[in-house]
Amino acid sequence: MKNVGESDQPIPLPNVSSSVLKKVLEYCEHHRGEPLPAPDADTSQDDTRKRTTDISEWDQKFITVDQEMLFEIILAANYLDIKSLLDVGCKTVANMIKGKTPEEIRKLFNIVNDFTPEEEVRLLALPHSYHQLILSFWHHQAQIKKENEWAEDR
Amino acid sequence: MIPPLPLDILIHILYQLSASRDEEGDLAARAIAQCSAVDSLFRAASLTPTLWQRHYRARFLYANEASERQREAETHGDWKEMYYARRMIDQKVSLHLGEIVQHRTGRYEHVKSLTNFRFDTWDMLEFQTGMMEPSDYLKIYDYGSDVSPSLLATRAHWASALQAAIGRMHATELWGCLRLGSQSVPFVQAFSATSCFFGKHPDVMKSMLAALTPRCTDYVVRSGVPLAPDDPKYDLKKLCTLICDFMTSEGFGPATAGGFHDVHNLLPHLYLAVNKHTIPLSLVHIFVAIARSMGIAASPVDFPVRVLVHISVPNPDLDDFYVDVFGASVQPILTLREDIPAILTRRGIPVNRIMYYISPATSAPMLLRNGRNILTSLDNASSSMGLLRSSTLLGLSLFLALSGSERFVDQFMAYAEPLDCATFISEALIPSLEGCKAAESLSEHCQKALETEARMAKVVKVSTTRQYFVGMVFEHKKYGYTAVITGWDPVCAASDTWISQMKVDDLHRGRTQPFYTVVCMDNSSRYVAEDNIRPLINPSTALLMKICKSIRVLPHFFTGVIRNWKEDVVSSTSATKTDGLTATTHYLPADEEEWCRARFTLNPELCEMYPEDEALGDAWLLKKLGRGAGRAE
Repeated sequence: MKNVGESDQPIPLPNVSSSVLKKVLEYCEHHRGEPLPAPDADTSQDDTRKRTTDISEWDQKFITVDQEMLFEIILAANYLDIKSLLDVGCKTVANMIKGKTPEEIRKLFNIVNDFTPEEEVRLLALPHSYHQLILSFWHHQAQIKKENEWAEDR
Repeated sequence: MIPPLPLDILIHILYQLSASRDEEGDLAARAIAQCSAVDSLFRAASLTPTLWQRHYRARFLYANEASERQREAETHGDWKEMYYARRMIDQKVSLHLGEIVQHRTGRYEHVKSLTNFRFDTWDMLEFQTGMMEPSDYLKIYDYGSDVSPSLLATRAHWASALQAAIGRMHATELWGCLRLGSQSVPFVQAFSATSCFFGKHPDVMKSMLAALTPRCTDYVVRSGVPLAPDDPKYDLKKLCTLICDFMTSEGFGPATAGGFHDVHNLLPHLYLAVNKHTIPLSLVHIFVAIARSMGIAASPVDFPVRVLVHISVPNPDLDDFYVDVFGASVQPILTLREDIPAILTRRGIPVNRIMYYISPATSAPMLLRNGRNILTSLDNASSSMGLLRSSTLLGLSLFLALSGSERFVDQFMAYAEPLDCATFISEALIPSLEGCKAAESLSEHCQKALETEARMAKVVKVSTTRQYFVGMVFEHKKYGYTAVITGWDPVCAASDTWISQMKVDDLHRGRTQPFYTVVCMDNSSRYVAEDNIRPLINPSTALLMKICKSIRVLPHFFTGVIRNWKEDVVSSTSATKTDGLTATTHYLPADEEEWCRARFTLNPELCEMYPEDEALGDAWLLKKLGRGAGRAE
């Protein structure tokens, strides 16, 4: 929350409901005193460090809310420029998207498919038949590495 | 009601799907791809170029430079398209590899299609090897259990063989350019390429060398010697001496007498990492790489005693000078007017040859010199067979590619395997030798070798007269060594000379008994009469693991080990398994009780060639051992 530190001017919150604001304040209260992330941290850089699943236990519990609230929190965090809360929210949504088909994502977000039939055909022609193949290699390799570690322990 | 999220937040959400070079990263990229089919807003978010750039950069560390430029042009730099194009190549690589692993017939057509992608295949091949030795994938399985050997070891074996093939294509092409003089290749790069022969990507050596520069710069700065040429105190001789000191501080140094002819000391990926006590030429390679990256005009010199470095001094009033990296602890700097003529005179070099010995050398004579070093080292090498074969091919390839001479073609082809013939020899070496006699002779040899291989690929061997099978572990009755059977002939198929040399006819059944091709613990291959084979009974886990680890070529033949335990010893052996008691070997005298048998399982191509041997092996596993036989019913 830059530029508001010492100001006693009220912040207008036309888009944030009181229940959402309460949640946001709860988050800020818990994380008070923690250092702010560098203001212009390169997203791509810190992404390699933080995995999608890297949400702290408290944040995880905090963000376990219904979907409407989750989206409201994200919007509020974005509006109030609370980057760490925005990230927690977006990570949670990203985890929800992972492994879902377009139809499942639509259902999840209550989205109406606005593609023309032609567009839709084009989009579905994505080359993903080989994904399964590659995934099975990753899986096998992880397995073998585990076994090897196990063998070395002994 | 669920509020709609604006585009910038959707993009931020997709950014949380992290890019990485593993399963997680593949799933993330797939999730983003799926989003492009949700609705137009999601689609807009999923097409964010930087998203795909990030995934591309994380997923693909290597590319074939020419193809990469072409891709950039074709996709107009669209990272999503680039990513898709590479994943399509991955898919093709995977399919070709599958065919290569499964079938011997038609294998080299797939090899050619795959290796045509050159370094674009590298990431996928690296995943297939898992950055491990193929033999690490050989595991021991219990007979009748749910888990059985997979093709991982075979895939890893072929993936690393193909990496070496692609590396060889790259290196030979580079050296071909040197001979033709059509394109100048810097010494450091041309020299580093020798490691490509061993399946190392050129970037590996490049980054190993590049990592030295900042450390060396630090070292120089700490010594208070200026690095900038315009500094009034800039002193090239001091600087060069410091680079030598730095190399010593990093552990590089002269090889001792024995190490001079150790082939490990001649290969960049090895002397840059572990074999740091090495020969003058290797040290000069490192020195020149560091010096050039610091803006010093350093070049190797093909000096008679040992390779030196020539330093070109920009100031026309000062003489150029020479650095003896190998002898740096005694005298690092040699002067043009005193030291160098003195050495040349002592060596009896005639005056008219002096110019050659003191001028900066091009890459070709240096590589030829290394080729000679490698070939002379092989006579005294105690290294593994695989390294020996690859090094011989390397030494002779250097000679052929750089001289274009026909000499040695026969020796060269004696070491070439069908994979070499189908890849670097026919695709890189022969084209670079166009018009030379060697090219004709090589093509003929290659064609013959591949025809023989195609014929061999169709051979199917069945026989009722033999006792043993491919995959059996045995002990040689006379010489006592342990080995694994990889093939057989119904009667001795060796030449009469060999038969009389080996006194085959003195054996009880002479030359008319089955003979087995086997691989031994020292990786050598032998040909053994059935009379001399004693099957290995009650092998310990430790022994089986040792066989898997020691015999590097096993993944070329086998997919794993299956073992059958006798029922009543299962409990006691599983107890001893943990305290290491099973580490003792059990070679069976006739009367000792049997409690365990094990055999190697055949890969698809051996199953094709020896269709009876898997069943024969299983029958042997079950013989005399109650439990497995019962469970197999």
